[in-house]
Order: sequence, then structure tokens, then C-alpha cells
Amino acid sequence: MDTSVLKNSALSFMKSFNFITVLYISVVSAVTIIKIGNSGGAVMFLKKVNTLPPVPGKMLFISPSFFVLLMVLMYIHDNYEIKQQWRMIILEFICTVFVIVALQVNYNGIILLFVAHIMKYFEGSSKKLLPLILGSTFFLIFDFNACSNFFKITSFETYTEYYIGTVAAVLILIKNLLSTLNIILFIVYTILHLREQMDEKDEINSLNEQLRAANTELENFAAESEKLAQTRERNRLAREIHDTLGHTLTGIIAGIDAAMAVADVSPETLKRYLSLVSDVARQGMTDVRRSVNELRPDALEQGDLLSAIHKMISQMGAASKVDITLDNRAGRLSFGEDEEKIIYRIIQESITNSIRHGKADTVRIRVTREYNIVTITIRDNGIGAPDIEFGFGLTHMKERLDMLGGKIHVDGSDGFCVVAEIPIRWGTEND
Amino acid sequence: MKKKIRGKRFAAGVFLAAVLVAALVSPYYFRHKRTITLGFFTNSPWGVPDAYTYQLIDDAVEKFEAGHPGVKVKFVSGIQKDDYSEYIASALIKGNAPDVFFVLPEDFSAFAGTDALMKLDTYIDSDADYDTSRYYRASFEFGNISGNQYGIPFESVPSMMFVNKTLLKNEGIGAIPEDWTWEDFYRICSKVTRDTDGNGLEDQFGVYGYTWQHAFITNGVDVFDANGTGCDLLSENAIETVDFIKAINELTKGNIVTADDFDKGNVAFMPALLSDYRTYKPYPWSIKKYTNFELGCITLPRGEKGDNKSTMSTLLLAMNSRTDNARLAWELIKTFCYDIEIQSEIYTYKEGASVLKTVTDSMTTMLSINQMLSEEGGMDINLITSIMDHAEPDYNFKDTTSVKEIIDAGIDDIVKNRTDSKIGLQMIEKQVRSFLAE
Repeated sequence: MDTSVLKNSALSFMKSFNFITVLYISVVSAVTIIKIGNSGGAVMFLKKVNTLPPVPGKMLFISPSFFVLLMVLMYIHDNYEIKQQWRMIILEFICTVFVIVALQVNYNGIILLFVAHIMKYFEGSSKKLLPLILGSTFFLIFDFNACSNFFKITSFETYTEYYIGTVAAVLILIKNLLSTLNIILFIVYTILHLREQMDEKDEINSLNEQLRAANTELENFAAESEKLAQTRERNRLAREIHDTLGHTLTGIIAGIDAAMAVADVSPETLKRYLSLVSDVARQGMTDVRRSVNELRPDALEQGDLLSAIHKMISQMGAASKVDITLDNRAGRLSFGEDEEKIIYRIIQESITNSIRHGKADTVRIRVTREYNIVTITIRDNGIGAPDIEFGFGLTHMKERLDMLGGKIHVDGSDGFCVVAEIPIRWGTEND
Repeated sequence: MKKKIRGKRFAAGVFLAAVLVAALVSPYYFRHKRTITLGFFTNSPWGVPDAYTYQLIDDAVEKFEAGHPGVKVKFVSGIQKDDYSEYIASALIKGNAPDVFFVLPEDFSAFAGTDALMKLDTYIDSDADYDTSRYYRASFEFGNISGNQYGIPFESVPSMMFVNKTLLKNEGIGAIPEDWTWEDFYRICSKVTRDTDGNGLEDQFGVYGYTWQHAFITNGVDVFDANGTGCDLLSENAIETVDFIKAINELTKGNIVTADDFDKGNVAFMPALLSDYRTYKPYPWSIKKYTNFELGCITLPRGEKGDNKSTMSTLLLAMNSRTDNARLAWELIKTFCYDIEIQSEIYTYKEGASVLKTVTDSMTTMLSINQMLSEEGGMDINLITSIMDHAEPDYNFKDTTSVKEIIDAGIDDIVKNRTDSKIGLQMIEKQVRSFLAE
């Protein structure tokens, strides 16, 4: 069985045994007083003791009540969030002392119960021994023989003297048995507590080892990943050049060749060709400008995410003559730096795709939030794609979202639609 | 995860609980404030017949209730003296003892020693109308243990010496002076001890019932310190005193003198209490008990180093330390112990003496005048005032009775076996010390 389960059951047993002991001493004392009073031994009894015992009714009631109160305090302490630990401990201690005083210091095992209870609140290495030291001190202070020198108290044995022979011996035996049992339970509890702490230490050590290994792995992975990123970026550049400059230059070369062929024949046709070349070159110029913009997301570094997106939209819109709108329903957008970059890139990539592949002339972007999920929807009115292939751009997007624990859905049936779901991390929402 | 608890709500809960408890308890508390309970017993504390205790209690209660409108004094009646100690002790440990109760001299130390009785010093000090010097010193001091006043005296009885006046007259012995000595005492005892009917056996004796306590107090022997923790029996006075007891006892020549011998008129002296004198001296008891001689009383004879002193037993009134009517309880105690009218009734209805000097002075004067008119002389009762003035309080430390029994047995042993007084006393002291140390 688990150490902590054993430990808790030892503590529960201690509580039960202490309650039985408190009840036992109270009941035996109270009943004995009533018996003495009814049997004509009261004068003798008063000559034997040096203080009037508490009234039987109160005796039956007071110490068990304080014990119950102590149990309630311990329950609250264990199950509710308490800001002032010390106050609670002092309150419990006072209650413990009250139980002992109400029992005329005839039983001090409750101190052990108290120590067992507070032990778990002193986990810090510097204070770990404090409960044990305090506990044993009070255990010695609240000893009947020690206290009887300074205070007027009546021993349990004095009460039992009323009974004849065996009965008195049995009554004392039961009391001693109960307190011995309590001490044994306390020792068991302490051993279990120490063992649990040692287990915990071992576990922490092994976890530390694992963490170190994971860290090394992660460092390796980060180095690899950087290389990979460089390769990807180069690939992307290559494709950008191919897609934009290559295409344009091809068009221009083809146009100029055609122009050269008709240059001597028809100046009219030449003019038309040159104007086409000019168009292509201009288009190429626009594409290059856009590509350069894409490669330089410094807008994000200058302001918050929302204004960076706005800036990007207006620049891309102006360069491509495409109508791009942003509908933000999620309020202020505030994420971690890495999250912001990824969101920015997703929007940028989607718009680029819409313009380049979808030939769209409107792009609608909507940002919504439900609980801790932010959803970004980018929809265009372009040609769409009945069979979607996860090319370089979409794969890249998906990879980035995976890193945040998000999801991506694409739909090419009516225009093109990208839906990205990003969970917001705890703690940053209100920053 | 732990649940949060709000400080304010918690405090409010505690406060509400406290208010609820207070609301539940207060009617009980206030209802009881207007009744006060009294504990007493019906017969005489001094072992003499008594018929009028109720009268005095009723008068005192009536007077108290008249002075405190709305307050009711409740009491259980019909408890006999023999059952009274147990009745009060049992009620004390069960927690239902009366607010105010009479305490027998033999119970006082045990009750006060367990804090069952309220310390009355604050009430005495704060009461401007209350003057303790109006009491006989011995009466008031009996209620004091280790500097704390646990009881207020109600009725006192000093010890004194009964005299068979007829016997002395027949033997030709004249009036005995108030300051008579052990020498006088021994001389008279020696003279009267003889065989009157000529059958060869002594049948007339000097004294019956003269104990070490009577001898010690009249020879300045202080056996115990105030707390009853120390014991000194080896002083020269003590040894001398035991020698005297031995001598007096040897006069009987081995005959055993009994109380019956005194009753029949065959003994000259017998130490007794004032209550005995007040009971048996007047009619009808004078006829029933001491038929064939005239009873008189005198101080106890003094030793060489002592005085004609008496031990005084005192019936106290005490307050329950658990009372919630302390103020009223104190007033009730005062009604019994400090009210001249009520204290005067002791001379009408009871057998002891009033503990107030003024009352005893005026009442004894009146009694002696009455006696003078009805009988042949009232001088004896006039002695009461001087005896009480010179009395010492009886021991009141814990287990006085047991300690007295140990000394009784020890002295008895010395007398019977003719042990050397010093050796005998050493043994007694050892026993007493080991008993007190327990």
C-alpha cells in the first residue's frame, strides 16, 4: 500500500483513539464522582484531594467538546485554504491545551496528535524538526506529576481508588493501554512521514535527471531545427524568386523576343508587345515588392499585433489592388511573442495565397474568441481549389499551429477558406 | 484543491455562535440570581439536645428577605448533624451545593483546602460596615487558613472545667479561684481520690477526660505551625506537660474512670464545653443528668508556663466558591453572623455562645441575673466572657482529626506504659511528621 495512505490512516486511528481516551477519562471520572457522592464517601474524598473536581456534568461535556472543536479546526486546516497558517496552528494548540486542562492533565497524548497533525505544515528543511521539538517539550510540561507540583489537580488514580481491587486496576490498565496505543500510533505515523519524505526526495532526484536529459535533447533538437528553418527559408526564397522574378522575367524575355521579331514589320504590333512587356514588368515589380514585404515582418516588432496586421493589410491591399478587410470580434489581442508571430504569419501567408493562387479580389479576415480559443477565419472569393494539396505554405502553417496546440481547417470549394484555432495560454490574457 | 475561506464570514460565524450561546444561557443565569440557597442541619453541632434551631434559621431568613425584597432564601430542612458533613461534601463534588452553608469545625479544613469555599477577604475588606474586631479573636481566627478567611464564625463553644460543687463542699474544699494552677488541680485531685465506702477500692476520683489538648494549651505548648505542616513536640514545655498528665493519671491507681462516674457524682472535675454547661445546668436537664450534685464550671487550671486558656470550637458559615450570587451570599452570611438580633437568639435557642463580643457580654450578664434570681448564684456564667476572651482557636489544618488521634494514642501509650515522656514524644512526633508529609 502507498505510504501516504498508510500515514493518513495512522492519523485517523490516532484521532479515534484520542477521542475514545478523552471520553473514557471524562466518563469514568464523572461517574465515579457521582458514585462517591451517592455512597457516603464524599468527605473522605475531599480529604484526599487538594482541589474540588469539576462538576460531573461539565466534566462529561467540556473536554469532549473541546476535542470535537479541535477536530473541526484540523478539518478546516486540512481542507480549506488558510492564509495565516500560524494563527490556525496557535488556535489548534490552544484547543489542545484546553482539552488537557479540562482533563486535569490526566492525559497528554493529544499533544502527540497535535504534533502529528501539524507535521505536514512544516515541510521546509529548516523548520522540519520544530513540531517534534515543541511537541516533546509540551509533552513533558503537560505531565501529571510535573503539573501536580504547581497546580491543584486530581489524578485519575485518585478517582479509581473508590473502586475495590480489580475494578480499579482494570480501569487504570485501560487508560494506560489507550495512551500506549496512542504513542505507538504516533511513532508509526512519524516513521511513515519520514519515509514519505525520503521517497519524495528520491523521486525529485530522478525527475531532475530526466529533466537534464530532456534539456540536452531539446538543445540538439533546437540546433537541428535552426538548420532546418534555414533550409526552408532558402527553399522559400528560391520559390519566391521562381514564382515572381522567374515568371516575370520569362514573360519579359518572351515579350521582348516577340517584339524584336516584329520590330521591322509592324511598329503597331511592336508597341502592343512592348506595352504588354511593360505590364508584365510592372506586375513583376509589384510581386517583388510584396515578396520583400513578406520577408520582412518588422511591422510586428514596432507595435502590437492588431496594428501590425492592419499595416500589413493596407500595404498588401495597396500593392495588389485586392480589397482586404479585418473584422476583429475578439477585443484586444494580446499573446506571447511566439504566438503573435505565428498568427501574423498565418494571416500573411493566407493573403498571399489568395492573391497569388486564388486570383481573388476580396479577402475577408475575421477574428473571434470563445472561452480560451481564438479562431481566425480568412476567406476569399478566388478560384478556390477542389483538391487541396498541402504544399509548402499550408504545411508550414500547420506546423506552426501544432506548436501552439492549435488546429487548421482549409476548404477550397467556394473560394478559399482557412480557419485556424489557437488556444490562449494561461496568464497572458490579462497582461 | 483547497477551498477558500473568507475571514470576515468566519469571524461573523464565531460571533453569531457566541451570541446564541449567551442568549441561551442568560435567562438561566438571571432567573437564578434572585434565589439564594442555604445549607444547615437541625440539631446541635456540639452533641447536646437541641430543639430550636429552626426558630433561629427562620428568623434570620425572614430578616434577610425583608432587607432584600424579591430575593428568596431556599433551604433543605431536616438534615441531621451526623449526615450533614457527607450531605455538603457530596453536594460540593456534584456541583449542587448551597450558596451559603454552615461548616462543622471538623470539616472546615478539608472543605477550605479543596477550594470549595470562597475566600472572603475581598468582601470583608470592601465592606465598610463590617468590623472584624467585634468578634472574639479565637472565633474569627478559626475561619482563617494560611492568611485567607474561608469562613465567618456563627457560634462558638470554649472548653472549660465542670466542677462537682457538692463533692468539693463535702471534702471541705473552698471556692476555686479563676486563675488556679496545675498545683491546685493536682492537690485537689489527690485529696478527693479515695475509698468512700470502705470496701478497699477507690470510688471517688479527681478528674475524668483531662487530655493532652487541655494540658498543652494551658502550658503554652504550640504543637503545630499555622499551616499544619510542621510539628514540635519536643519542647521543654511539652515534656513537662506530659509528665503532669502522667502524674494526674497515676492518682487513680490503675482504676478506670468513666463519664458515668462523673454523672453519678463521684468525680470532682471534668473538662467540657460551654454547650454542655448551658444544656445541663438549667432545668429540666439538671434533673435528668446530674441528679445528685450541683454542677459548676471554672476555667482550666494553668501550668507553670501557661495561662488559664481554653480551646474554642467554632461553627462557621461559608460561601460556596461556585456560587453565582456572591454578593447576596455575603449579605446572608452577615445576617447570621453580624446581626446583633440574630446573634442574640443564640442565647435563646442554641447552646453555644455568640461570636460577637457585645452580644455575649450583654446576654451573659442577663443570663447570670436570671440565674441569680432562680438559683443560688450566677457567678459561673459570668466566666464565659473572660474564657472566650482568652481562648485559642482549635487547630484547623487539614486532617486535624487524624493528627489528634495519633497524638491521643501516643500519649495514652506513654501514660499506660509509663514510658519516658521525651522518648514517647519523639516517637509521636515522628509519626505525626510522616503523616503530615503524606
